[in-house]
Amino acid sequence: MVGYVARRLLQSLGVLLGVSVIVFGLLHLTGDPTRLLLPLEAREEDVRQMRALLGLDDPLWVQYARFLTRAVRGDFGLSFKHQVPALTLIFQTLPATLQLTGAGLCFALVVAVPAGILAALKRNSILDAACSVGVLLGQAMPVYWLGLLLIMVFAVGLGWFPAAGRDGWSSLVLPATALGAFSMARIARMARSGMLEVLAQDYVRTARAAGIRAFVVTYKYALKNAAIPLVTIVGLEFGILLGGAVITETIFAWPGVGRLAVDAIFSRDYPLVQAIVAVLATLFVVINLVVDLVYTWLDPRIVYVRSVR
Amino acid sequence: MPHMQRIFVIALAVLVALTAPAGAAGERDVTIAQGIDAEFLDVQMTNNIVTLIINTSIYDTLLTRDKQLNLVPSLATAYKNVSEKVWEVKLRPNVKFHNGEPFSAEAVKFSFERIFRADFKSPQKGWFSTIDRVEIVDPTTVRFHTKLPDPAMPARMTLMYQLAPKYVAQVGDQQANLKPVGTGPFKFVEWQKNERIVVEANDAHWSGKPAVRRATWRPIPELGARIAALQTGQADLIVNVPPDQLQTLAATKTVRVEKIPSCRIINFAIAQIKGGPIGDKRVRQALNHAVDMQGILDAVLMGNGKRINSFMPTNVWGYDPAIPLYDYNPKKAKELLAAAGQTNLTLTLQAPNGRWAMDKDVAQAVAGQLTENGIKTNIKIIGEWGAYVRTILDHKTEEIAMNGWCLPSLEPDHWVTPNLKTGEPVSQYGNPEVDKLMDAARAEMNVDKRKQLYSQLLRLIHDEAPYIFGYQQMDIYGVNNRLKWTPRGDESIRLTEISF
Repeated sequence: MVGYVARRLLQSLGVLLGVSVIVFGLLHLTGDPTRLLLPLEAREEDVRQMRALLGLDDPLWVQYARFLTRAVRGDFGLSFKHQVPALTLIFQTLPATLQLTGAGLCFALVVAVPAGILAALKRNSILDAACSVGVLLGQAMPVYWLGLLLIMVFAVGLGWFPAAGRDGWSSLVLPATALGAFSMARIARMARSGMLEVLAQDYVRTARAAGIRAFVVTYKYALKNAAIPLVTIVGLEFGILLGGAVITETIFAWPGVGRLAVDAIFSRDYPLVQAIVAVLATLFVVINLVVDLVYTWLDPRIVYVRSVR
Repeated sequence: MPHMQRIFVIALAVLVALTAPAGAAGERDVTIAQGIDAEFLDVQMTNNIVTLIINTSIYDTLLTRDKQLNLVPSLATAYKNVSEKVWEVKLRPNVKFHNGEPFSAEAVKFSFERIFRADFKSPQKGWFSTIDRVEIVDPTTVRFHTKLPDPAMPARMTLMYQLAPKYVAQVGDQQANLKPVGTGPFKFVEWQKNERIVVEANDAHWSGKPAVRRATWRPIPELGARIAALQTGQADLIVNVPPDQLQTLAATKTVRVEKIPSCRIINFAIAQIKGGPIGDKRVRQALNHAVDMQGILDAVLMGNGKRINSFMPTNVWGYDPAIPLYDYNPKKAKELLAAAGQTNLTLTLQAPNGRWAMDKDVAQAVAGQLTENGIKTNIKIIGEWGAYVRTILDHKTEEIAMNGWCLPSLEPDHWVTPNLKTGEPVSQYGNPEVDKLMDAARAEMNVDKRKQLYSQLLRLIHDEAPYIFGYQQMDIYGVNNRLKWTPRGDESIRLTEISF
């Protein structure tokens, strides 16, 4: 197990290195950031001076080597635009994003898992149909549209929640709902199909025949087995939500990493974009690893061993 | 299942704990929502207007502008020319920075020299490039020595933000940015990146106690959310309300709309330096006659805009009301095109999306009218601002490019020179005659003569038509009725101008 984790972590380094090369290359294709940092009317000499100060007049490989040697020590340099260490900016904003993503996922799970199970248990009933409609709506509504709709109804119309910003728990409700809606739909669908499959298994029938209460059969034996694909998708969903938070954060003026990233990309803030991508990629890799490890807990038949050739 | 329940309960508890509720707002507190957060609270690190607006509450400048945009004293009480290249400035005595450090000539010299420090990445170097050095005469008198005669010095002084020398030396540039100290009417309280900046009244300010006790600047990028924040009372003042949203605001009884023609002018630059048909003045004039700009203002912007006669907004010194507007005259346009031998012209017009109020819609209307009047005009929308800027600076715009301009100095030279002088980075135009007049106006120290030179220059620009002349943008704000406040023509929001 320890060997497996160590090997996976080593592989992750390769992934992160690959990501950094791609992001570095893409960023440098988007053009010179100096001109966006200076006033439009700035003279060429001022532009040259600024470029030198930012280290942008070195050859590309020198810039990448510098970036990499610093990054391994946890130093992503100063954000061009804010002149603050890039990591400082990320750590200031990451809690807000994790909070929003966590709340979005919680909302999705709290609604989707029971809904999916009920739909499976009451297959082809009105309840099942209602769940299907909910799933369809959740997947069809773009987050910016749903976000504005929620603001109009629950902030402006009913006055229950604030329209924007991050002031207290009530400000979390609307953005988390908007962000979680799409995941909710996907998870509900997965929970329903997973549950249907498990309910048709022999051991469920055997358990029922043995006179075990229906509740225990469903929630203790069936659900745990139906949970494996669910855990996979929840892990992936968390990563997707981290990305999806960009739009939600913009609509609800939520001060998270997503907004920071968009802003950094538009202003060609190379160090900040690279740092954000590195941090998010690391998070994603770690979540994937955790998901794989959770499998062994859910299904003891899954054991990670050294591969045999 | 009990496992799951426990996990959910813990997760919810953590989430709730993470969001600390904000304190209740007082009666004389205001919240202002703009589209973006401040880039810096080290005011010398920015040239961004929104960032400058926020910083203006914390820092004072040497001179400032009143509501009518006239120059008035601030930390400087008087100024005069000792000679053509030397300006003597008297400083306000007994002024203290928020940390108790006294303001004096030392601070003026320090603040100026800091911008030009080799390792300091200030984008403000260009604003003060005409100044050679600052000389301290006595603690309340400084002299600015300029490289050339510079009549724009008073306007430059409105941008000379004053920093506390000892404080900056002690804490360093990064901390000075995170915990700003100025002499301004408001003191810094907190900055949560992308969330809020809070300032509180500085009752010891030389101009007296501000009516506003505490102000919060909130960045809310999405327009719908910004309007909702105003409607729900979460914000008291919001910026950049587009004309097509005025009806939404009118439906809410607790708020009102305030508007004013801005220093920002929107025009359509014709890339004369490309040569070809648009190198011919008659073609450029024809383009002006072929667009019903007033009609577009009325139909697209619902009357929210004010036409301009040349490349200068009406509220900037140097504007000449005697210059006529181009009249909408398709027949004359056709005659001019025929005289230039250009009866079968195809052009492309580029515009950004979301940079200026309803920019894309206005651009489409202009292209539509040109096409209707025989000049086939394709439209190219470049939505990403960085890419748009690159076409301008690389001098690779399409034949016509939408252009918006306003600089916080309100100095006429800062409109014409960057945009029209031969070889300037932004300029898509070159004409020795225009250059000569610009240089003369820029160096003329006699106010009356200078005004005459601008009049002459703007008339020449009108005739040369390097733009399809557009309009002054209307700055539209949504305001909660509990605020007594009217907007300014320089896009600034001064907290000291708000009362209840």
